[in-house]
Formats: sequence, structure tokens, C-alpha cells
Amino acid sequence: MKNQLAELRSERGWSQADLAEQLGVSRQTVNSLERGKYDPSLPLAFKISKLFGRPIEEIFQPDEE
Amino acid sequence: MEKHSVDAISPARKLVMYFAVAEGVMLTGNLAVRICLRRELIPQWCVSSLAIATTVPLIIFAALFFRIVRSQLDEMLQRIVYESLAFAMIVFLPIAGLYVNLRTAGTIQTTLDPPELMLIPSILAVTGILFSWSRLK
Repeated sequence: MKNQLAELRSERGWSQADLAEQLGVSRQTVNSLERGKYDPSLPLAFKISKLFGRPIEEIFQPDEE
Repeated sequence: MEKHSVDAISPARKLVMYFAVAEGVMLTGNLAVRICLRRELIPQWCVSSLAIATTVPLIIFAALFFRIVRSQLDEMLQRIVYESLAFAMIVFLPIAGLYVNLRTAGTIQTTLDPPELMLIPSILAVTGILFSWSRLK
């Protein structure tokens, strides 16, 4: 799954560790999320959506077939 | 959603350390039991007590395992742990089945010692962690 997490984080000048702290996950998880290696659970996706003030589908997009 | 430690690697390391210590104590206990039996150093009830006592850390680890995983690891690290355990179980069963049948058939004569039997699932779980970690990293 593609996502805009890295861009949104950079816009705010946050490090991966800053974002991890706000989401209550490890920095490794943020790194895997940004690289599209790990898809978040629904609760985590909602938390990300709330933190950035954007709808989930604007942050995460499914891979095109 | 539960609040997890930001530096979730530390709880993961703690988990591995607890396990390594518990398994180490058990294996050292097994060695001590063998030495005591061979040299008849202490009475049988003491040997049995030693055997039970050195397994207690593994029992405590088993009791703490899910509490640590659920409360201290974030969702990705939880997934790595669960996937690695599933990997260990799925790979261990055919290996154990093959060993048991070939041993029964007399094709292989090698007897696995208890320490080897204890270490195989651990080695498989670590292998599973490395697989999962490399895939998600």
C-alpha cells in the first residue's frame, strides 16, 4: 500500500522518532509504514488520520493492479 | 488503542533476554542434573528438586510472555513475534515427525539430547524473527 506519511511528516518538520512518539509506536514501525512494507491496523490508521487531520484514503492508497 | 513504548525495541530485547536467561538456566540445570546423577553427588530427591527449580524461570517466562508482548510491543513487533512463533511451529512439526519416523524405522540411529530438543524451537523462532524482520524492515 502506498502512503503520504513521509511527505506529511516532512511538511511538519518531524523526525520519525517524533512521529513514532505521537503515535505510540516504535520508530522502526514508522520507518516500515513510510516504506510501504507494513500496512497499519485500522486503529493505527485512524490515529494517523486524526494526527494529520486528513481522511485515511488521502493518506493511504491501495497499490494499483 | 493501547499506548506502547516508543522505543519498542527495548521491550523486544528484554523479551529475548528473559528467554535466553530462562533457557540458559534450564540447560545449565540439565547439565548439573546429569553430573549429579553420574557422580551420585546428591540424593535423588535433590536431583529432582534441582530439575524442577531450574525449569521455573521458563515457566515464569511463559506466564509473562503475552503480558510483555501485548503491553510493551507495538503492533508491528507483535506481528513479528507471532509470525516467528507460527513459523517455528510449522517448521518444527515436519522436522520432528521426520525424525521420529526415521528413528522408529531404524534409518537413523542418532538420539537427540534434551538440550538439542529444547534448542530447535528456539533456533526456529529466531530464524522466523529474522525472516519477518527482513520482510517488514
